[in-house]
Amino acid sequence: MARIFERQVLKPSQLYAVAEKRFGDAKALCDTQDNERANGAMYLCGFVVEILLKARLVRLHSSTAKMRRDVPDAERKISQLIWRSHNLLEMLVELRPLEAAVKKAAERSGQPFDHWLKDICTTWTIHARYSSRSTTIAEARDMLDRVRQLKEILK
Amino acid sequence: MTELPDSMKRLEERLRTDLEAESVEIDPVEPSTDRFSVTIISPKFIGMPDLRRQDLAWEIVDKVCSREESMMVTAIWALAPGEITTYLERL
Repeated sequence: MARIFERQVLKPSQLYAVAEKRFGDAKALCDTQDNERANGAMYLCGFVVEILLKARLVRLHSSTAKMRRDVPDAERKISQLIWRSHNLLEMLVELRPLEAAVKKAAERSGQPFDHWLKDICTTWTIHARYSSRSTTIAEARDMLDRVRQLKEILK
Repeated sequence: MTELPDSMKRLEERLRTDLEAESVEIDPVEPSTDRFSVTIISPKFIGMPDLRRQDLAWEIVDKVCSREESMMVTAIWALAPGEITTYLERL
């Protein structure tokens, strides 16, 4: 059995490295120009954002992130978001300083990074893994381009 | 039921008009917070990719709201008529 299936506890710096790898996977799928690969690319794009948001949560709540069992009630929500959840919107709601930083970056650059982040956090779900519907590679490339720019701010 | 701030009432009206929306609902993300999610159902979204729909809605948010007010909008659900069932299934 490949060791990649083992659960690991990662530091934020390791999570950033993993996010880059998954971004590379998404790009490779987009580079095929094949609509059949679009769902996979969009799933991975959202997953990159998930990893980066989790890295932020781990940085902000390092002691909670280390607790896997007997988590105090007050820290249970954060623990759930780090260890169990794939709900990007709930993660973003817990990261107000990040939201403000993304807004500032948007104002500096003239690119609506804050809207892009909220859009991805709103629309992306893990249900893409099971979806029988298909999207297009053009849509996937659009998302990839947004995530490429966002990940530099989210790191 | 929470009373919406004036900025969100303004936004609701403008989204309804500019997007010819069948419905616009603005709800607090959590009770007693100053964050809101916006759900728009408009025929203008038919055949439009998700991210483009939201770009369109955010353009209106930016026109109607100040910087601080726009930060109160946490999520926009931009749906075409008939998509509400899919949306509910995801929650």
